[in-house]
Amino acid sequence: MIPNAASRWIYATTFVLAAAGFLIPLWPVAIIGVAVATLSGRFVFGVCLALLLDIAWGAPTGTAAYFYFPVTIFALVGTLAHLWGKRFVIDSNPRETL
Amino acid sequence: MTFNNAQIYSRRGKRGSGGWWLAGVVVLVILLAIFLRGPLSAAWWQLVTPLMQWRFASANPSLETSAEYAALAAENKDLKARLGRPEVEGMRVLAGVLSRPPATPYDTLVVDAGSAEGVAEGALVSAGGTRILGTVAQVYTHTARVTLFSAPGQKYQALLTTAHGTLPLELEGQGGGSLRAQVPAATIATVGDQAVLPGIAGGLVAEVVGVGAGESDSFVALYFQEPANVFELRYVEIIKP
Repeated sequence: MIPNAASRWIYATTFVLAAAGFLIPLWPVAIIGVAVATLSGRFVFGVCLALLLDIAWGAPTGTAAYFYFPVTIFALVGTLAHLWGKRFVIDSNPRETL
Repeated sequence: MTFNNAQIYSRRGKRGSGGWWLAGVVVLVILLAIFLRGPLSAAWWQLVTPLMQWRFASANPSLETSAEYAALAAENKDLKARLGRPEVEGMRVLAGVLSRPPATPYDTLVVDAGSAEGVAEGALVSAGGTRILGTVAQVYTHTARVTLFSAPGQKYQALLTTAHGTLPLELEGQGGGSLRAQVPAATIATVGDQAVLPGIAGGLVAEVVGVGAGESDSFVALYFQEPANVFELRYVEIIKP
């Protein structure tokens, strides 16, 4: 399956953001990359990025340790948010195309 | 091109089953990552170590070794020896910092020394001399993860040394190299007072940088900073037990 031009841009942007979060270094930039991927509907890519970040950063400390894979959980929440938005908020049948 | 109802339902069914397959694969990948987190972390850091070494090669070193500090440390050892408690010098491993805040969100470091270099879990990590920053949390073959005392939610017992005496307190990490503790309101603590590890070996853990209101009138809150700037660390020393 070959991604279209828009998808290619989103994949490239999210990957660059995640890599930049490592190299700038500023972790929120990497989180933004995951958020862009999942909220735009690229779930698998977003979850894979999140897993990589969780593996690199390790488990959180303190009470947040119970989340264990917090960035992956964030990516899954982003996925659910996209699906919910697509179903109830985003107009899938805009009037101008009917 | 026209479709009859059967063709449409058949296409929807195929798309739906493809979605479930994808979801299954994602769940499988997540489960694999959960169960193989340790080996995957080790492999990841081995892979990116050259990149991170290159990235942080231009950073300013923060391992301070002044002549005044060395003289004080020597005097301290001499005094302990005279009092019948000669310090048993633990072997130290110098390690380069591969990742540090704000590249990591939980106040952890990743250093380029692991089990192959003799690093053990629980070993103290210092920024040079007696300035203790945290402990080794996970050890991989050639890398290790260090949890700083300032990691959010981490709690440690320490001794607060002031001009008026010493009292025990519990330090709680706040993130970003900051810590917090509650002490009785009658405690006379000022900025610059130090928290040290209990025991003869001691080790400076944090310095008071502010005094504020506590959760009730009976307490005051003391705000601490790690003894070295964790955002600029380039090397650390890992003290072998």
